[in-house]
Amino acid sequence: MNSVTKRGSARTASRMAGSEAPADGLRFEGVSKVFATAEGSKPFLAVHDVNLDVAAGRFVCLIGPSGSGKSTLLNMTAGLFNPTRGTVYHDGRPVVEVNTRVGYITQQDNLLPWRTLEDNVAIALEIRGYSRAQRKQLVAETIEMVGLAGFEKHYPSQLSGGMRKRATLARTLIYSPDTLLLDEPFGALDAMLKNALQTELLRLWERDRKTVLFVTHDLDEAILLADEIVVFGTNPGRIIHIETVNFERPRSLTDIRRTPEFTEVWERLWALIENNK
Amino acid sequence: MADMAAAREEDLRDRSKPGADIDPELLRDLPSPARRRMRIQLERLALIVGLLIAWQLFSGNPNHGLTLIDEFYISKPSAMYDSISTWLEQGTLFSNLFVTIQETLIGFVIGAALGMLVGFLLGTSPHLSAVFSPIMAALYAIPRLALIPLFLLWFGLGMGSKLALVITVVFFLVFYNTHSGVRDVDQGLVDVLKVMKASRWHIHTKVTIPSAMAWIIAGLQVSVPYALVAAVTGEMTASNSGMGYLIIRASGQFNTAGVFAGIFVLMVLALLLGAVVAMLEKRLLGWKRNRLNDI
Repeated sequence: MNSVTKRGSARTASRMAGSEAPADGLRFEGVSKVFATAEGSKPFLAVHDVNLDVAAGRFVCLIGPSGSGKSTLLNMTAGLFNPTRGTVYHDGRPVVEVNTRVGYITQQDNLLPWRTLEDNVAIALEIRGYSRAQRKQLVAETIEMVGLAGFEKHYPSQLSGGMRKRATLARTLIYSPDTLLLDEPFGALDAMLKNALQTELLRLWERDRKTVLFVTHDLDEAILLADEIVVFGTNPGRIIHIETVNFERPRSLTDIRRTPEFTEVWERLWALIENNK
Repeated sequence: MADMAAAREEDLRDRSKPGADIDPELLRDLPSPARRRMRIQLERLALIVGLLIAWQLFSGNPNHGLTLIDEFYISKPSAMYDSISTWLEQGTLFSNLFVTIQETLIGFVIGAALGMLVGFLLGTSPHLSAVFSPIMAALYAIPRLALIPLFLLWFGLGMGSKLALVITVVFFLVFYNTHSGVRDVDQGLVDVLKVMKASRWHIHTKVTIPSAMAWIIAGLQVSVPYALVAAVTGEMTASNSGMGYLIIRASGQFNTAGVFAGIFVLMVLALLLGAVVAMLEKRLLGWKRNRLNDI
């Protein structure tokens, strides 16, 4: 059985016996989100009745056209805003305020431009009240881990796009969130750089096996990275399909891309996305 | 770490990793900025000295041979020098300069502090901002000089009325910049910190204030010269001390050299204040200058 399951509608779910939210991982139960838009125009239904279980330690990609509610779902998982209907559960508990057990990385680096690399990486530890000495050790290790040793004193503006991406990874991993929310993290990078960072992300993930929700527009990327691919459709944003990806790990894009299985999955999902725009 | 080394070998083409050392040969022909700066400074000095000499030569008694313009209207550098020396001997220069500096600085500090405080409060609270915006706009619309008579009534001829004028001038400039700076903060940065467990205090000290700092500094920078203008204007309108008073008194005595000397002293003062602000900016916004050149 898939460990990611699309569940029945919210009404059915509430009738199902023993449908307590799982103690580990994420559950979306009948989640809908409506945004009030400018005065006079119609409110916008961004997410409609999403039911989804994500087991702890799974790498799940959310794919679909723009406006299919993927980012909205991540924001609700991070607790930055609440669903209009339904509930997001994290390890069995409903997310009602900012979820500080997740790490959130978006397409923008969101590094603080007035802080050097090491001070950016240290910020979560500062907030958690670590002493300077405690921070120093951990920061050095984490910067080393993402391959940025030697750039500790550089400001974000002095780093290349790929290095800034590594920096955001370090800044997030340093406080060991159990779940990573990645919103098109490599969207703005060129193909070669993207591939290098995907490889790096997989390496880090295979080491700690955190739960990952990874939003992307890139089908290659989704198939390379994911255990499960959740396909979203638009108008309204909703789940239309869940695909289990069975390639052995560790994977490399160059190895799997030429296999017939890759082509088969790619073409089927592509058609699905195209037909649901 | 072994796995790190393996990963490095795997993607040698990865340009996101630290760059290579530069061959010193390639650095040899970089242009020398020092020599260019030196040249510019020499030319500048020559221009200033030339103008002063011309001023000294062509200004004077209208019946004199070289004179082009009557000394009564434009004075001359040597006369200005004499005026300043006399003031120095009598002790008038420093006592009056000190008054102007005090008014400018104290007024600036109070006005800037109030401006930052109110700007921060309204900037972080959309509700307060909505309530106060039109009121602030109305107050800002009052021509500041029109307040001088009122300040004279309230605070008298002394320093009080000048301080009040400087404070109102500086307050609005700093207020609007702080307000815009605080509202300009990138919500993405705030969200990232929230997810990291940041309290409101953390968000303000680690994101809002440093992010607004560029705007605040710009506001401070703009308002320093205005503070001086306000102080001197106040002194010229009604007072018995300060550089503005000294200039007005010289003018009343048809002492052109004294007027020019006063203006010269104010210019030097304004430049010094500007230099101090620039130093402050460099310290607080060092991260903005640290960009890579030519890459």
